[in-house]
Amino acid sequence: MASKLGRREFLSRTAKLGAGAVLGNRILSGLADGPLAARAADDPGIAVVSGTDYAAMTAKAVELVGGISAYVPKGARVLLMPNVQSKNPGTFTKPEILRAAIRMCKSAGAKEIACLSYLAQPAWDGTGLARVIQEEGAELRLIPREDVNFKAVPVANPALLKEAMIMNAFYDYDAFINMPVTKDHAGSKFTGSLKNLMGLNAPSCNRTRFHQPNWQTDPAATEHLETCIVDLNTVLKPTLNIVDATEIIRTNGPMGPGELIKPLKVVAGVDRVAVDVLCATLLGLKGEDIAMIRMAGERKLGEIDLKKVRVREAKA
Amino acid sequence: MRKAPAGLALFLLSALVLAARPGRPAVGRQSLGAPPPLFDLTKLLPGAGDLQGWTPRGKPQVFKGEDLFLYIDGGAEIVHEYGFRQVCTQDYANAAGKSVTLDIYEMATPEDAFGMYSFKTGAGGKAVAIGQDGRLEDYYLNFWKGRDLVTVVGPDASADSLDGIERVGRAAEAKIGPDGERPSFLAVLPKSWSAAGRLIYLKGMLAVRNIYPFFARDLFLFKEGIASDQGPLKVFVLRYGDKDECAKRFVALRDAFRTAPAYRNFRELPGGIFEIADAKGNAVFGAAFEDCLGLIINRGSQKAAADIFDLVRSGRAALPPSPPGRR
Repeated sequence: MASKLGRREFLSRTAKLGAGAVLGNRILSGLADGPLAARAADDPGIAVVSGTDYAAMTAKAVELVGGISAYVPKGARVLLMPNVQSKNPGTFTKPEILRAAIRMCKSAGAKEIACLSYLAQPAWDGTGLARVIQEEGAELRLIPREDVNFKAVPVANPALLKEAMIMNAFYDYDAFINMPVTKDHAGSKFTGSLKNLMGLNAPSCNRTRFHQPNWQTDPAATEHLETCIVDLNTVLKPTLNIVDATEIIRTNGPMGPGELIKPLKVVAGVDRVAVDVLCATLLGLKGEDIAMIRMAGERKLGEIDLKKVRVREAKA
Repeated sequence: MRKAPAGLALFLLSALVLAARPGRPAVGRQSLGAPPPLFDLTKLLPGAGDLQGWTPRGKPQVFKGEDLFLYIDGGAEIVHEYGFRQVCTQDYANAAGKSVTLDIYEMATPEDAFGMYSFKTGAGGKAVAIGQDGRLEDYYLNFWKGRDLVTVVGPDASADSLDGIERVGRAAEAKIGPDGERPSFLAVLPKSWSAAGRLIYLKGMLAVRNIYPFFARDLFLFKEGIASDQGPLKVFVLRYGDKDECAKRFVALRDAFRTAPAYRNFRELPGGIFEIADAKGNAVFGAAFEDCLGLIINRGSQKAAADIFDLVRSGRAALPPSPPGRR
């Protein structure tokens, strides 16, 4: 019963906010619209909050895009996906930001809050994220990398990736909050909301289909990765994106160590393309210069022109 | 029968000399061909007795070949582009609980180790006398020696962290074998340019695109290259090792620039140079000489570009013949 009530409440709120960018999960399987299709006159836009108290900034950013209850129905099972690249500074989502997100979800009445990952426990321990998950009573579910733990999901009208391989466990959740850290990437120059979704796709698929076996010699392989990321984003639609842009690396991404810059911002929004465009500017880049952002915009996964997006800025 | 003892003595002497060396024998360009067997990188890890105030924490991890993707999830390609073979990683902690991480990357050749080093290091930080080249930036150290690239990272730039970074780095350096050859192709650009910005040895398109995104496709397919990234001025010299191959690539590249929507205002200049403007208003100049292709991106100065091409042409003329390439 709790699930049904949650669904009704959620649908009502997202319809009001025009924020129906939700996954094809069990409760919300009827909502398949992308952010652009769902955008309404009272579009919450994206929020950019500056400061040094990362928890307060996270809470404020979510508040500015409608508040957590707009995205997490009471009784919902919530999946949070921080970036757990390495323990090098500026390469992983800050534990304080994850803690704030968990607490907000709890305050919204979430029944279950978890992080899913095919990375090993030491990666989560080294970043301090495992401790936060444990302290806050959330769950860290480490999924074995074997294909049997992933489900084949056809990509409609793919540019390259005909079939994604999404974690089976992903479909246990009602809401999905994507929580990348934005930073440099040696191949694509930028990583953020769009690319973080590779963390839900089978490692074997990421290796063999996103990265061509002959990527070092095939002239066409250069934008292969970015094209596949955009394909993947057509089957995975975060309920909300909360991006760590506090202390991030500008060089040697994604693992670092690299030049650390401190934009000291948390960015939140449903439209992952707009969120990534804004985050790219923090690295001195333009959205259209990043192949995956440009292609995602062309394929209407979100808005690439920030002039058309309501950007709410605040300090916390 | 009388020769055997002398041979045996020579063998034993050689073995003693090799055993006395702290690391592996030197491997340089002369070793191109079958790669040597993988070395046990854990032997290069400093132990507690090698460090003052710092001790290994946890067990070392080694990732070989494609397994690098388990260590660098979503970003290992660039290391493979530079001939990655294996990496060993080990944490060290001090009494205060501060920890630093040592990564020793074994690359296929010293040129590759230098290349990865040149890609990873910026113009920031300061040069340090560790390895063949070393650079200490805010909270991390990179150096290369022989076939190894070493990175030591702390959690911050505190004195404690920097102490650990330096101690662990120096202890690792002492265990790594002798120096290796630096890429001779570096001489194609003036030495002084290393002070003007990043000087990056190139082995493939990922590194090129990281500096300047010429095309979505790799139209270069070069054997080795060098780039000088001085902000608004970027210079690429790509070597093919064969004049005909280079000439063919140059024609294909010129045509690609001429027809790509991202570029406009193509013109031929004297001296076989072409010029075209990119979408941001920069001028891109291209020219071929010997077995090399040169590309310059600047604010639009034809004279500056022509002068640089002259410099590069002289640098190329002074180089020995091309080595066999990997691609």
